[in-house]
Amino acid sequence: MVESKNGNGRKRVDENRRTTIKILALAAMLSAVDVTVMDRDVFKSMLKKVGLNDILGEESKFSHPEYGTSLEARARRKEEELKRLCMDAAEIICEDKGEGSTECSLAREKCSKIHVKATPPQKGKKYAMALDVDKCIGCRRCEYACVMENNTPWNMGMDWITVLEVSREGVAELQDAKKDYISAPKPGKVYVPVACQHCEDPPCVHVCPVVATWKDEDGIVLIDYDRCIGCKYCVVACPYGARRFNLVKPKLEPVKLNPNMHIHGNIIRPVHVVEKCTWCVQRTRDGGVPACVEACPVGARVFGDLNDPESPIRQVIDEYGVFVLKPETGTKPKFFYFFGGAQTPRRGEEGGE
Amino acid sequence: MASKDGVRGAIDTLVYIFREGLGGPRSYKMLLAGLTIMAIYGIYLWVFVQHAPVFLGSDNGGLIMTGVNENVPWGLYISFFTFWVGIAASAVIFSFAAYVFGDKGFKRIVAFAEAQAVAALIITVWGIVANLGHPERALLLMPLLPNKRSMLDWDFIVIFTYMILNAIAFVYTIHVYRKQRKLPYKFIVVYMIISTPFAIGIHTVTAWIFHALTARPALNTALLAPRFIATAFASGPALILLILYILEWSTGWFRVDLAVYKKTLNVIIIALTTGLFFTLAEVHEAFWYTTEPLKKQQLIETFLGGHYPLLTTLTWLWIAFGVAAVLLGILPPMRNSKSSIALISLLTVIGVVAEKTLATILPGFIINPLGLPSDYTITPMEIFVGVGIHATVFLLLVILIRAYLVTVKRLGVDVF
Repeated sequence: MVESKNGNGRKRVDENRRTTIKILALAAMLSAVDVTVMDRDVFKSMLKKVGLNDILGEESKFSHPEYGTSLEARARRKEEELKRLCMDAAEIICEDKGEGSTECSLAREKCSKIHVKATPPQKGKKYAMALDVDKCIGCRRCEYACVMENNTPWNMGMDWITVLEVSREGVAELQDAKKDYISAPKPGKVYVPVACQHCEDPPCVHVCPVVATWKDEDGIVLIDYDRCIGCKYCVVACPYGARRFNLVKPKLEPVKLNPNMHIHGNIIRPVHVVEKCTWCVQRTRDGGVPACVEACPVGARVFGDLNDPESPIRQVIDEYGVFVLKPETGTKPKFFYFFGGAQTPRRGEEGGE
Repeated sequence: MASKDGVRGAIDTLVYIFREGLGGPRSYKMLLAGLTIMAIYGIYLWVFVQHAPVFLGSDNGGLIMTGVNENVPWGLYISFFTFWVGIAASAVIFSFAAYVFGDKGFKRIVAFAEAQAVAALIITVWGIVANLGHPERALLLMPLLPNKRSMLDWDFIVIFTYMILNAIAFVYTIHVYRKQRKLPYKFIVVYMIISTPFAIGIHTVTAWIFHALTARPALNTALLAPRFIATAFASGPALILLILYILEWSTGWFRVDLAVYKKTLNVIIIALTTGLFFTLAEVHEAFWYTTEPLKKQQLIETFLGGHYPLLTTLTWLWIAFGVAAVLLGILPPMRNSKSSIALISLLTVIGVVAEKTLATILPGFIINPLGLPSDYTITPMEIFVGVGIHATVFLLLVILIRAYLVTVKRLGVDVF
């Protein structure tokens, strides 16, 4: 605005000033447009207060993909492809160990049994899981069962469950937890297994740029492995560190394979996609319980339908009251922790470590 | 805009840019050849080694070859992304000075800022793509913007729009100057009105990608976007000044007024001071009383050190170089020569590179959401792919700058 050395300087200054004002006005208008482009309902829901009674969840407000003939057809295609790949791998094993060996016959049997399901969520169900921190002995058998059930990539050493060892004394902060403890259970410690919390308001679902992950009607947060672009934004957004990324191509091992697969669950994942706990969707949607619940030697895990007053999860909530991890994040997890009272004896108490 | 000359005129100008940009003395051709070799090697590594399982279906390779892991999902590539977005955003300072305030000196150099913005945005997009697991799916899905709540979708809109706007502005500038004409007033008004919100927008949206995540308390601060913009407005002009300084030295005939340097230096100093003040505010918030334990732990790791010394080093490098640049910049003798201003610019660029790259994103990752320390080792693969990306884009930048310089040299009349 100081350019007034030349003859018509006055006029130029005016022009510039007018332009500036015009620009600022239009910039303001454009930024207003940016906000209104967003769906009004979506905007309102962003400002919604967190209700106290959110344990009995609301209707899912996220769009979820179609379960139907197209997904079924995709599952069939995947099944064919996996069977072929599995048989190829099985042939190698058979050549290696001999035609009559147990590995060979086991591999072939598992390959022929591969079945990829595309089961839709059951109407009216709302799953939740609870874990008795008093009972848990930190044995990590749930982790092992999870890996076996879900065909988790062996060549990456990946696991969906992280078991934390937290001190019983003082204020228990997650920051003081230990992940790589060697012996358990120890006196004065509690063990907190953490996996996907299947939140009511999952940040991972909010941030996914291509809607490759969503919360289903039965409360399970799932991932479409054929849609994931591998941007890892959901890994960044998850407050529980529950999501994992396939940094290498998962190796198919016929002997260790679990042939009972779900297309959004434990199917063999492609390279460079995100995966996480699915509450064993291949089991629970057929009326079963997740593998970790079944494998827990002390019965610390409880799984059930929140809408069913008779379900074990409702009894736990009524009887003990439950708490969630990191409530300050506002994600409203559907994975609860509770103190059942009856402590499993620690190693030290039974006569030394 | 190019309606008078039509599409043919635009194509003519593009051909002209690359013809002029590719020709030149022997040393210039050597520079181009060197950049090309680095670019080809980097792209080769990315396509045939790092992303081989995706592009070629092979069993080996994958993002495991980078330092990215389950706790540090974003590494060096996303660091480039945050830094270069800032450089791109700062082009608006020059176009404001040139077109809105009508400063003649700035009108001569505004095209450099536009070219730099285009180049910077190509690096940012490429940085994201190199970090993507499945770029081929992203190309299909992202333009459809399936999830408007995801900040990545918004980033996609603003980055591409701003890139195209700057590319149009640069090509059109050359197109007009080639014909020995002035830039039409109408074009300037329309361009400024559309591009200004996007310049601020690209950097705001980039900061918003990180800042609304409760999972990463160190990044979960509303100060992130202002801090990004402050440091962007320091580093972008500083980089332009360095480019100008090098051009003046290497061409021998190209001269820029000292006034331009001085005015730009003022912007740098103000922006740097603001950026440093924001850093101070964050330190105060975290350390004065109490705060969320995870946030405190992450910021202790950032400022006081812990298991990952690189992060602390970078953070203090930023503070030290930032303060040094501000102090030198307010000393009168330092403000009166181009070389000392270039020195201050260099300090600024180094300081902001330290802050904007790893020291911005790693505080959120180096302690994972469950409070467990995690590590991030930069691998040679990441460095070479990164160098390749930068070389490709610098190649383009060098070509654009040369085309502009040749055009300006040929100007018979004063068009500024």
